Amino acid sequence: MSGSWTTIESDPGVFTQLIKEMGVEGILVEEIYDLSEEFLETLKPVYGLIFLFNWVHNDAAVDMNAINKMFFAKQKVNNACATQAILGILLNRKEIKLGAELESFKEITKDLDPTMKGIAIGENDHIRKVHNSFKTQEPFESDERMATSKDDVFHFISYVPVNGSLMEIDGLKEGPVNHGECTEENWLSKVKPVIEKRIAQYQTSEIRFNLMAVTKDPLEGYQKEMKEISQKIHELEKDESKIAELEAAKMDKQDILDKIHMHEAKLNRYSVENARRRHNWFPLIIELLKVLAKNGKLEPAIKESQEKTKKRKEAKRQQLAKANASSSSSS
Amino acid sequence: MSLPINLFNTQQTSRHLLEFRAGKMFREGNMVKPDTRKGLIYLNQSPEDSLMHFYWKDRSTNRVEDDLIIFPFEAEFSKVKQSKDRVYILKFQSSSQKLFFWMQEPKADKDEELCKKVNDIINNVHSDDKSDVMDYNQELLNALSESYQQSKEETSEDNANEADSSDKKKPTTQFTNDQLKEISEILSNIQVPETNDANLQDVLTPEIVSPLLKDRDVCNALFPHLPDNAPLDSQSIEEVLRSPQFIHSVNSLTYALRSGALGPLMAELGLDTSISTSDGAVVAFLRAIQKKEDDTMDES
Repeated sequence: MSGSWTTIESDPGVFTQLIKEMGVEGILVEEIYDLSEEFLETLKPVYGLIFLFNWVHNDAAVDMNAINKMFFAKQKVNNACATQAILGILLNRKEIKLGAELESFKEITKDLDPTMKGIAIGENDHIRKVHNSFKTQEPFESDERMATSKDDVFHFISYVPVNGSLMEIDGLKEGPVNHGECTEENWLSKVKPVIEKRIAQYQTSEIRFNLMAVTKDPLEGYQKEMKEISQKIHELEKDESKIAELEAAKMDKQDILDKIHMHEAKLNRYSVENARRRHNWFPLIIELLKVLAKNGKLEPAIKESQEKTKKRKEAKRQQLAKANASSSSSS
Repeated sequence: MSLPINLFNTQQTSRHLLEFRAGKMFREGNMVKPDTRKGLIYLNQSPEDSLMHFYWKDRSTNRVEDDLIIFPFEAEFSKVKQSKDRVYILKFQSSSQKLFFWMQEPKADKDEELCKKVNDIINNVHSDDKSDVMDYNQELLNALSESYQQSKEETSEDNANEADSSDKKKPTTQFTNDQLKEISEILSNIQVPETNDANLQDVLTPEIVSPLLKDRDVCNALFPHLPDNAPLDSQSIEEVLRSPQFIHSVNSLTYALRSGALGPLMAELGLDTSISTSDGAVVAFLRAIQKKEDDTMDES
């Protein structure tokens, strides 16, 4: 019906690219390293948060009244949760310019129930194609990103303010979870304890969480600031009495330039890493091995690696013997 | 890749070659009694040491309690015939260590198959058919959707306070010391020559490759194989060698060579398939590449 969907790595560069390829412009996804107010403040405006965690059942009550006034789809396709989480944010934020594809998807599905919306996601060729564009290329690929154990099923959900309420959108639930009233200004401080509580449910040894913010790409803002400050400097240069103000303005301009450069560097890093994710490395590996062979470096490297393998085995054997000794003495 | 900062650290999830639900058993005198906790047995080749590991973990706490290295033919997983219950034993040839388990999969009909799979993985049994690797991936996909379904069903059961019925049937089995001794004697007579295979990650390190990048011809041969937007300089190649995506791919190839892809890959690359594999699949692959390069240089 809908073909297979690949798993998606929880990485801001990957999500930024997925959103862009869905046809949505002006969005930047950033990783959240800590939940402090100061840090969250630097990310604003934030459209929504995407949270990745090791899935366990929870029975928080859902708000079935809300489903007719927002986009909520049940997950009907394996591994589609990353895309579901993205759509949960994009389609519930009126200020985001969706682009032709998603705009028409939103329109077509607006009267469907959550199950049918989920099926519609699965059957949308455009969405599936974008989602699967991060499938690894190697013919011999053994996809280690895939979780196969029921204990390690990773799941993406999103948090987004919709119609004045903080909503948790989880495609494995019947409907969205309503975390109470909020405003555009305070929703990030409201979501903080919700996520903290969620993390606290796990043992302290569980560190596999990841939180990302879907934000407005700041570049447009930087460009506007740049234009304004350049204008100001131009004016001040005409007036010799305002030399101090001119110096201050020049420093502001440098600050904005620095921000633009950092932003460029970030996008560049995202794009380099994404190209690596999508690259078929097999030809390079073979070429490298040929180069080593030509230069007489291969055989010594083989010997060295075999030696290392032997040492690793020996170390493990000793460890094993130790474990045996202690277990047999106790029985 | 995410940075390991604060609470939010993403680890790449790893797949397991095989996994099934099983509890541990412990010995009390001559009795073997079930540990009532819900557990999971899984097998994996560790990317660190490339050795096969046998794990047992507690499903409720998610804590791995047993992590054993197993060399081919060094251990055997088998049904304990003396017990009518679903009791299995993992016996080691190199030591007197024995571990008992009881199956916790809801249905017993897959027990025999799982047992065979454990031994196949331990003994690295594989065919040289390329399609195996493909089937294997398909199997994993199926396993994912299955385990996912199960996890949903199970949690809803837990909610209703209905424990998995198979978890309730706790077997008790008795062994005589003679029986245990007999088993270990049979096993100690089996001997297998040890191979120390190389792995590609050790070979393709920046330390080994970088000195060659001073040669312009070497760089020019490598550039066409870099990702589209990578700058064409030696530094860019070194960055690639350190990138998690490249390393992941290198390890996948090591793994594929050892699990049946050696033959098909050598044929595809026009390598001499008569090379001895006695030192391991990766060594055979690398020596075949060396041989082809030597032959080419002789001709010119």
